Amino acid sequence: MIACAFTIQASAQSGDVKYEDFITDPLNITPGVLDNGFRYYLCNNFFPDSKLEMRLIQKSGTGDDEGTPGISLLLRRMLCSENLIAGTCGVLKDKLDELQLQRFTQFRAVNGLVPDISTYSSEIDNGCTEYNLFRLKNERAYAASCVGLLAEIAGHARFSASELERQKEFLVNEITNSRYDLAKKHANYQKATFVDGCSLDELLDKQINSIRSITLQQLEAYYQRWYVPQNQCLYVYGKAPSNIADIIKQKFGSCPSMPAPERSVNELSNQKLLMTKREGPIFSIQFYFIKPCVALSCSEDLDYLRKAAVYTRIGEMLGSSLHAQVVTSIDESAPFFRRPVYALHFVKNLDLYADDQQLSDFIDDVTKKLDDVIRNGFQEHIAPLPIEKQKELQRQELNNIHHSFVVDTHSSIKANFLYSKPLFKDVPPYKYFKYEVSEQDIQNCSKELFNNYDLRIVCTTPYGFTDAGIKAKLEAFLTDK
Amino acid sequence: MTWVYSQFDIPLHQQKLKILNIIYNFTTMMVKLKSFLVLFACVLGMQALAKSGTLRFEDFLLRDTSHVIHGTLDNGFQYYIVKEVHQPFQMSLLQKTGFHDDGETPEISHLLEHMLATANRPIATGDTLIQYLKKLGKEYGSGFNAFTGANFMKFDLYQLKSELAYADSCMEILAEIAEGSKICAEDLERQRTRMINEVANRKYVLNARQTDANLGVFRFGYDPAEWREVQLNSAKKITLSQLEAFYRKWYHPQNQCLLVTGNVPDGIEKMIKRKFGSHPCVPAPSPTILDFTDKNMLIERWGSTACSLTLNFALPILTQAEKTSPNFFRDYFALKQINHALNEKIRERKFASNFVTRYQVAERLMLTATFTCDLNEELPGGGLQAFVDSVAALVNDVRSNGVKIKMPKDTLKNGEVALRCAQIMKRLQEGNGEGNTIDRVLQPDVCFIYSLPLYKQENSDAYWTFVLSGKDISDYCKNFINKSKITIECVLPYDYPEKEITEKLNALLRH
Repeated sequence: MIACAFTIQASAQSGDVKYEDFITDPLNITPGVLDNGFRYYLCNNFFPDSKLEMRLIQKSGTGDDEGTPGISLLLRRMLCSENLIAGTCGVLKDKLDELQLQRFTQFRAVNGLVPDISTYSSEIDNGCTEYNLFRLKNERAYAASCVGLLAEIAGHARFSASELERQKEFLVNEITNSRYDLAKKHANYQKATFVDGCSLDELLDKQINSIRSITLQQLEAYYQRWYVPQNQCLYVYGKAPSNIADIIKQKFGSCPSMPAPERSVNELSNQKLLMTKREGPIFSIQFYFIKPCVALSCSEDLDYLRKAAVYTRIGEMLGSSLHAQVVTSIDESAPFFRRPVYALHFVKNLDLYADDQQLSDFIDDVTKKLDDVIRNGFQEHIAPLPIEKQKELQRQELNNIHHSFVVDTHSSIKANFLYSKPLFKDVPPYKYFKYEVSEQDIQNCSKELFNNYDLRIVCTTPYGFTDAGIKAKLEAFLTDK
Repeated sequence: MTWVYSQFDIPLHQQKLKILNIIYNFTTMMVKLKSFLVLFACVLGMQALAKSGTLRFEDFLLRDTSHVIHGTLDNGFQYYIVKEVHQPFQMSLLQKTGFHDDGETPEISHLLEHMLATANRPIATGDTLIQYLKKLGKEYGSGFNAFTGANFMKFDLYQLKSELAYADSCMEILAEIAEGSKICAEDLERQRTRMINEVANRKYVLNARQTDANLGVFRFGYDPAEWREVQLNSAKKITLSQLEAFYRKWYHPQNQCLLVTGNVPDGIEKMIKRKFGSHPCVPAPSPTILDFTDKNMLIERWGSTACSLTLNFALPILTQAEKTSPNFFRDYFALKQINHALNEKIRERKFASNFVTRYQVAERLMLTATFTCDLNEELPGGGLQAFVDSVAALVNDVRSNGVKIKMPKDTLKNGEVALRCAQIMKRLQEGNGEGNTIDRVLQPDVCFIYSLPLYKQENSDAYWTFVLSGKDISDYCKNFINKSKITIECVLPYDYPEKEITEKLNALLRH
């Protein structure tokens, strides 16, 4: 998608800047690869209070169940259960006691949050599963034991039939209780609507029935198929022992290289619109322009960065013309759809003193504007900056970029490992390139964007809001597309 | 006293016995002397006590004007001036009228608030309110605010320059609101629309939704959606003449107070007298006190994966006699101790992810405990049933056994307790309360709205500390819980089934 054919002004205008200027410093993130394909990232942003943590990131999640709904969830539970035989480390509970780690089954390390005690926990989403050790001592022997534990979980765990039945019951409760968790419910709703083409209850019932029938053999086969070195990486953050790379090589390097399974791309259902609810006085509409699967372009150059800036500028211009907050995202392989997706996320806060018509008016404005852009392209005039002014602003941004580093290293390496995104510094390249984006660039890009796409919409309104009218408007908008 | 014999007359062992006897007798005499002295002191103390009698209500009142001045004008208008040099200067007009006084026209007090604060309201200078505020360097919407609560309305001017002339201009706005304001007909429909939208949209904001539901269910007996409809239907029909009549009925000096706080310029008190003293004193109705309805449970929903249970224990409405008795301070002190002890008890039981207990004084004494439990995804029903059971067990335990608390009276000797009591009593009787701080609950605005006293917090608490035993507090706690009207607000995640939880809570209420 990014490799669209339009005139590139980049080289002439970006004379002083190099691609590497935007990529993170090796002191901040040091990636490595073992012979068997296992990857690791040694990360630090030198905050004095940071504690050592390690995360085993597995490139498979709930989107990789391969016709056995719930199997990835069940495997994750098994690999976190206290009775797990973690290879040479023995029973997980005993090993965690030895390492003075508590098992935290419900902790979600979202938005950079980490527990305030030493723990073992795990997370799963559509595209990956993580097994995390937090607040570790950075002594060599201790760190080696932690790496060793994760290495055993990565490929040498053994499961028992009795534990399988116990974890199944917990998982059934977990899935039932996910109905009351808005974040999980939202993710499940998307899957139910856009992939399975069914209701949320039908999706969850299907999962529960499937889970109850999974056998030990199926689980082991799934584990051996997906949990291979090429599908895994180790994220180490904080002040690690100086020989940590050697430790990783020793513990993870002995696993034989195996072909990693091809990740499936789900057939999407015919349902194009999902109406959901949230707590709080905020409306949001997400437009997903899903593009056909194409081979990923070699995108590690300035042209790629400049093109991404054009797409972001389109989102910005839409937002300012509608007086709304718009967040743009461009994904070659978007986490949920597993296809190239250009997403526009419009957010509007409720005006407490305006009536319900405010959202209907907002929808009208957004759909009318998008419709116009889709049919006729962008008509807004961009006044070009004088070249000297542009260069001055870009010099300032470049200076900021040079001094920048990655604060949220975890999100950055995840995007790199799972979706091959470059390891950018925190100041986004857009801040540099936005000054050179021209009207012609916008028009060319929008023609490419709004051509040959599959549009899906997710509209979220506050609980208690009557959205029948909104739904009808959005359905009418979709009919044309 | 036994005399010592001559050493030449008695054998050695007998001499030793005699010496020991002397020492023993001397020691006994000293002990007796000490007891006598202590007793003498106690007698003196007791005599002092007997001389001054029991404490009166007035002995507890805070009269130290270096920190706070509480005054009442001839027409009944009250004011509080709280000097805090490092805080921004602000002033608020409090009107003792709120939702409880709406009668047959719900939302009329709220609409009146909107109309008294509306931008185009003409004021005596010839400006509109928005023009006048601009002259004071205030943007309409910031620096001036209005609010309506259950029992009061409040008009705030904040972030003010600490200059007398400036204060005069600001106070003019509040003086005009207090008496003689014209309702701006031109803005009525605009403000009505704004208010109707505000009432309707509050359901999307969790805190506002809970406040409205509380009022609607526990004070007016509706379910939340019904109450919202009642509010909206009433708001649509309120006429200009009804608003004017409501204003004339309630807005009188006896129902009003000016609260001035922060870096207050000198001369403010005279200014208040000048601006508000001339407002005529006419007979004014007493504020309405709504008791609780029969409904005692409310189920709400939220987006958290947790359950929150708020139990409110409320004693009967305080009579005027109770509010002006020394026992008010005793009961309030006991309530504070119960709150602390309950906090400790809940902490020990460890069944809640989070909890808060607090005491309140409004038209009655109240104790509130809020427990939150995160959903445990591994357990059937998220483990919320067990959580509710734990809360019920706690309440039943406190009902039967009270709380454990050790007071000085349980550990010190009677004599010492009596002595300390006498000392503090003297301080209460003779001192003006200098050095005492304002209680964090019984703040001036609460004191005004509910006719409660500003009191010598530290002195009073010190006194009751030595008067009440742990058993007294525990018995008071049991009495409090058993005599209270209990209301429960339960907040569950959206779509969580409520039937079993409701049954358990009903069982708790029936007990």
